[in-house]
Amino acid sequence: MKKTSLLLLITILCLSVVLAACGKNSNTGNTGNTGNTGNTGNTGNEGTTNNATKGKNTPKPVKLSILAWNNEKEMKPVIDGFKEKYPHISFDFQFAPPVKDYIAKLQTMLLSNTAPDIFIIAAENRNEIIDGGYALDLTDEPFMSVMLDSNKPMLSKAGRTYAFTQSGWAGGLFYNKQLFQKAGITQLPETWDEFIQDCLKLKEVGIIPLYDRMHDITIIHSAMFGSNVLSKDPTFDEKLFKGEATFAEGWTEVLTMWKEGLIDNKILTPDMIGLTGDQVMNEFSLGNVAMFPGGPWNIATIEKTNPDIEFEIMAIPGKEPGNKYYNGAPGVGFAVNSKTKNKEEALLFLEYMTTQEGLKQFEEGTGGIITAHGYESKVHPAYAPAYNDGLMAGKIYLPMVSWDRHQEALRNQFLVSIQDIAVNKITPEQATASLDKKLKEMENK
Amino acid sequence: MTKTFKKRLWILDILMLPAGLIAFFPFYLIIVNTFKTMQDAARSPMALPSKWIFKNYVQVFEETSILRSFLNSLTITACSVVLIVLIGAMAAYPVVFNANRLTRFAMLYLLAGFMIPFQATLIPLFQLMSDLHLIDKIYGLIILYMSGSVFVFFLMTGYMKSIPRELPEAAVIDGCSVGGIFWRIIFPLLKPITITSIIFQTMWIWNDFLAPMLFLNSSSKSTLVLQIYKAKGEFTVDWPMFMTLTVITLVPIFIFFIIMQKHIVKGIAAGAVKG
Amino acid sequence: MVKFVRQLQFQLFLLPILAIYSLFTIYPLIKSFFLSFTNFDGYTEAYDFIGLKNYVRIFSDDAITSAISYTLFFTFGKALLVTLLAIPLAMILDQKFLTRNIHRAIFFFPSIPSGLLLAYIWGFILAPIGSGVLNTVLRELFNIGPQPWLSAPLLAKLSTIVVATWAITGWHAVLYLAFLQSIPKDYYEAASIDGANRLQQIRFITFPLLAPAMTVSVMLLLTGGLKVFEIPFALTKGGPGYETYSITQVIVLRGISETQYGLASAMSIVFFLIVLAIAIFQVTVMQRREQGIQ
Repeated sequence: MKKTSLLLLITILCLSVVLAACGKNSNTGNTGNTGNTGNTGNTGNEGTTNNATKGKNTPKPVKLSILAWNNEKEMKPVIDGFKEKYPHISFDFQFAPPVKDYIAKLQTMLLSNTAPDIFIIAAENRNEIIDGGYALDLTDEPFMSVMLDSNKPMLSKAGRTYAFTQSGWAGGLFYNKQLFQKAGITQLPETWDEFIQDCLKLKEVGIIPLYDRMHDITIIHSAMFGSNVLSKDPTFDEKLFKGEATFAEGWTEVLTMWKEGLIDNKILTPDMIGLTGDQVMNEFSLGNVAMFPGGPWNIATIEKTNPDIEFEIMAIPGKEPGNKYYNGAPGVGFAVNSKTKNKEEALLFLEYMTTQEGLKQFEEGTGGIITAHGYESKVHPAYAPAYNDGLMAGKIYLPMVSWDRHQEALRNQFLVSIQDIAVNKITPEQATASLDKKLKEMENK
Repeated sequence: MTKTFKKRLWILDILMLPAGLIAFFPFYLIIVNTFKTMQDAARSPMALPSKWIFKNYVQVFEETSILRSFLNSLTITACSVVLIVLIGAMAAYPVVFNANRLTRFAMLYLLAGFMIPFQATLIPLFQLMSDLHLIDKIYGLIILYMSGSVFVFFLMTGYMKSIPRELPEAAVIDGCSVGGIFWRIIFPLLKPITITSIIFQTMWIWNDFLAPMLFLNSSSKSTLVLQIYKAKGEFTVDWPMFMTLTVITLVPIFIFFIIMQKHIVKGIAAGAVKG
Repeated sequence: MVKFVRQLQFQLFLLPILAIYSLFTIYPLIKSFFLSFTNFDGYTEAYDFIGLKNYVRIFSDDAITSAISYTLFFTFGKALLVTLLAIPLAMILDQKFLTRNIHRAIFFFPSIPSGLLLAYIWGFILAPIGSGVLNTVLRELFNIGPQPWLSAPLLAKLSTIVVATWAITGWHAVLYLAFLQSIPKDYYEAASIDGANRLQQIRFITFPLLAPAMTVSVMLLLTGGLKVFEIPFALTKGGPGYETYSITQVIVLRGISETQYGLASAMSIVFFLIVLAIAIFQVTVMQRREQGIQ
């Protein structure tokens, strides 16, 4: 008796769940519909492109699904602006936090054919998305002319571009002007040696010169590679992946300079590996450390934490004067699913993002730096050097974008190696040898 | 006798105080920083706020659809936990009271799966869920969670072993069926471990991030924990928002725990044996 | 015949769990086993069979060898520490003192927060600089200089164990607490009539009757410890070098980040066999111990 009643209970429970879920589904369907009835009056304005295809006066309501790692709040201005123009299109906005969670989510969705109409491509998954044929070729779309040429390589393969990005970022060293003054540093360093001398000057007067967590191919490493190797041979990475050059040839010098300058002088110490990014930023904001590597995303927090701070971003100088580089890359690109059923509407959305209005909405929502033809981004004064001398001058480098294949495997080998250098476990020569070994292993897998 | 007994318990209060404070300290950090401005939090993360502000909480309620997420979390957690505990308890019954080669094999079989980290079978699992059309369905997630019953099964087998074997044997003589013995005699005796299982599972499912992130797409089906992660950016995390949402998410679970743990009461098993 | 029907009725109780578990756990595992012989990258459906190549590669992967030694150290260190702390804690939380309920909640709750939050909070506490919470305390009390809690190899390993212990001890104490309830009160009454003191009661009644609880708890600690991902990842991201890489982190790294899903599947299978062996050994030994005690 009791058993049957229990079974009944389970069935009811299951059913109620099913029903509850169904109820929700029909609800969302309804909201889409109500949105549509509201539209019919508006269609005259902008619906031209769509009308042609449907051959009717009223465009059919369409729901575009979009997956991004910008959250709903950040994307809201663009989406709202677009919906105003095309009222028959509604959105199912989906979100996964950056970076790993997003990559995993998109990957699983693509494999099971449940991917959204629009998604973003980042440096971390561009090879797989493009090689797998998951993104639509956008090269010949007229709106792509807005995209900067320097933004294209990350989102391209063999001269074809598969996603649109309107943004970019450059990272460098933030320095505290007051602390530099205290140590008697009047001019920004023009060479690596001057930079090391300045660090030692700061140390002498009892100021911690620099915090770096060494948790990645750091901003300092990337920029150093730019100012010392790329400035001489811009095609080094191409050669590297054709097998005509090795990590040992390109990176040994950079890593040796880094070790002799920063590690051997105890400017960077292994205990910094244990810091968190927020602590580093905090310590800088409070004036406890003179420099830290960061990017545009730090500025608002620094000012919120300490409104009185005077600071600016600077580049990493090379061995010889005149070669200054930043670390940086294009922002993530918006791509259209090659299997989408709403291709036209999805392209319409991308097109809207390239308009002045769309760019402005995106800048407002995300607070990112817009790098697109014919658009002037409002840049914080402390960030102006990086925007003018780095981003717009193309003096930026990020291995994750420049390396052709196996970026994640190489990145990981890299960060393990620099931590091992920092604790004096291995030499720079051993580090680059392990990178060459890793690349070989990945090529032959 | 009673007097000394009481005295000793007062000592426990005092002895446990420092241990409790140390265990609680990280939570203090979380809670206190939700009431601070960023400047305040950076300068003195450990101190009490120099000025108490509530703007973080106001912001959360204004900017996120927290109520709908709360209902989603509640539905998912409640349904999953009930099913998990029932299935887990049922499975333990034959393994303990009818041990033979078959049940021993079943136990090993279940033990094996316990070792597999979720991340290791992610892609096949996702494909399976998609083939079964369980993606972006609340009941799909609940069905997936039901595989968590293996864990409850292990708790229950351990506990059932402490139930005197004479009990069901006596019931067999009285003419009870196999099912009847379980539902009428065994299951009520499992109350402490059932409550414990419910607490464990509720906590796990309520706080799970990976499965809802992967298997629910529409924002209308978002759970509370998914809302927390919206404060995470590519390079930075909006900490005041993150911590405030965490606190809001944990309050219901805290209340739930306080209520439930009172029901882990002593003496049920003993009473049943006597009766 | 009657016996057969009874048997069948018994087995029916196992049916739901076996169905759900086979579908959602074993089936993906079998598929992973199949993928472990391929060069599947996690994206393209076209992949080739490459035989045992992935399995050969595991043993030349310096990350995985380092991860195995760290994971074992972490697992046994944590299991020992938690068991030593959780049983007394459960016995204390079983007493009827004034702040009992609050203490139960306080000790239980650390198992909840996300890895992201753990990293943030413990980052403050274990910060290597002088202004870190723990370093401040050590300086004020014992005049000890700042320690690199998360960046020196051995200290980082120990720190992850301590944080993991903080997180899970209360949880296991609640588990033991439930099992303490199954000990009939009259056992203690009888013992005190026989003149046994409190310590003797614990030694001869509580411990033996907690044996099944220990089997469960230690099994969960070992399997959970071997599967560990979040705590070391949140605290150290695996560093310095490969020092605190857990096995699961290597699997995720190779499989998801580096898109070598075939290799990661092979790792999962080998890992699964190792854990299975340890778990079967542990359960057999401890069950024998239970029988010995009773």
